[in-house]
Amino acid sequence: NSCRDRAHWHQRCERCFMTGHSTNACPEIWRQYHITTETRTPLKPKGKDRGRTPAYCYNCSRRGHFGHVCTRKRMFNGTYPSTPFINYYDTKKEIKSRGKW
Amino acid sequence: LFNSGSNTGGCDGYSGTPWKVRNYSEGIIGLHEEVSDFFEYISPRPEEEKMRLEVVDRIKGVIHDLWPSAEVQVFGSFSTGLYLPTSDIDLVVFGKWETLPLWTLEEALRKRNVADENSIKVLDKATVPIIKLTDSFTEVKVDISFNVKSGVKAARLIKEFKEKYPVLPYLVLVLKQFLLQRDLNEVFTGGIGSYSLFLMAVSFLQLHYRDDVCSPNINFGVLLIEFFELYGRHFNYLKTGIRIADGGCYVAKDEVQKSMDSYRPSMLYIEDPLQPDNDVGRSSYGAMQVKQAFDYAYVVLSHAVSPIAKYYPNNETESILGRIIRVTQEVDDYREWIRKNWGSPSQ
Ligand SMILES: [Zn+2]
Ligand SMILES: [Zn+2]
Repeated sequence: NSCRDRAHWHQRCERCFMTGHSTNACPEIWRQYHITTETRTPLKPKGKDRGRTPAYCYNCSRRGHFGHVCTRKRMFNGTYPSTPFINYYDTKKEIKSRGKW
Repeated sequence: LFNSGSNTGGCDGYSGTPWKVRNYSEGIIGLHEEVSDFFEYISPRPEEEKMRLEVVDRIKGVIHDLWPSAEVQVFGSFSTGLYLPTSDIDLVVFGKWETLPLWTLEEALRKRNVADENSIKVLDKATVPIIKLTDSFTEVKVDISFNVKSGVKAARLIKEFKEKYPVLPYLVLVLKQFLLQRDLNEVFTGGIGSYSLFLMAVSFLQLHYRDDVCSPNINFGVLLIEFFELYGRHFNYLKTGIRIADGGCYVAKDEVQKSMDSYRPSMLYIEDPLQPDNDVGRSSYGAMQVKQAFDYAYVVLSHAVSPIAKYYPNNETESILGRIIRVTQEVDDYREWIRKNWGSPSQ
């Protein structure tokens, strides 16, 4: 069991570069559809989204950064934050190569 | 009686997902479609509103016979429209009394057969004393309080946020159903109140990283999973509290404690936008159970919409939302009964 846990820790996603999940299980795969409501390639927002200002941190409650970059202790050890921003939107071809997705 | 429980299978093939009227697209798009259909299904129907208004009128009649100048107002979910088929009706009576006439009204309601003898209770020791009853004809539960203005004000605030964030009703009704069937929808059963839940959803939207939460083509499925992700995984209940006022922010709980004369903020600290010294989450001892349930929903849904799940396609019976919520046959039957009795003939 502990071996499997360790393997899990060391997983680093090649898609969003966060630790704690594999590329196949990246939340960005569903998150990239945030403004898409029908089956098609995901729509990209116009302009770059730098996020809400000011930012508030769900972890330490402070202003100026988002929770996923917070360096303070988390409520539970072993929870890994994920980035709320979309690093990459899939192309039609990439979705096809993953099956219907 | 009509509460939902684990009995969702049914021997005549009742699926527990009566909102599912079509096959859904794959993955997260399918979840969006399904949340939308669930909302269509669960939203109050005209005949349900009609039936509830009759209940209100019956009780109003009894109150006005006792005190002709008393004013009766509806607040809570029946006034905001964010109610489930089995939700309570909240009433408040305004009038001039030396002591609250709880027992006088209780007796009158019983004599007039509005409520069954054993369905009516007076909670006179509660922080807000109320009469609880079940309308004998419709089985609708009603709470009656006296001279309390906060509920009416809260209902007004809720309506304003509904205008501001069109996605709110979709999220809130799914979340209410989710908590209801786990008995986490009331403070005294170890859950959280519906005002707390609503404010959590508002804060989630106010402080959302991406600015697109008001966008007309927002994906409901993404937002629902992100809600579960925030409050099930990431939100630090020990350190962080929620403030809704002035556009919203987070507050440090230890600073709240300092500023409030050593009042210890509750696990789920939510500053009441209508009264900043009131902690809406106070007495939500079940906040951590709610967190656990949200985490579970996050795991189930995020897995169900991932490409890994596509190896088990079963579109005919498949429901992604049905993995975390079900509507019992009892509730579906109850709504059918209401349709028969209060629906317009053309329906
Ligand atoms: Zn990733
Ligand atoms: Zn932080």
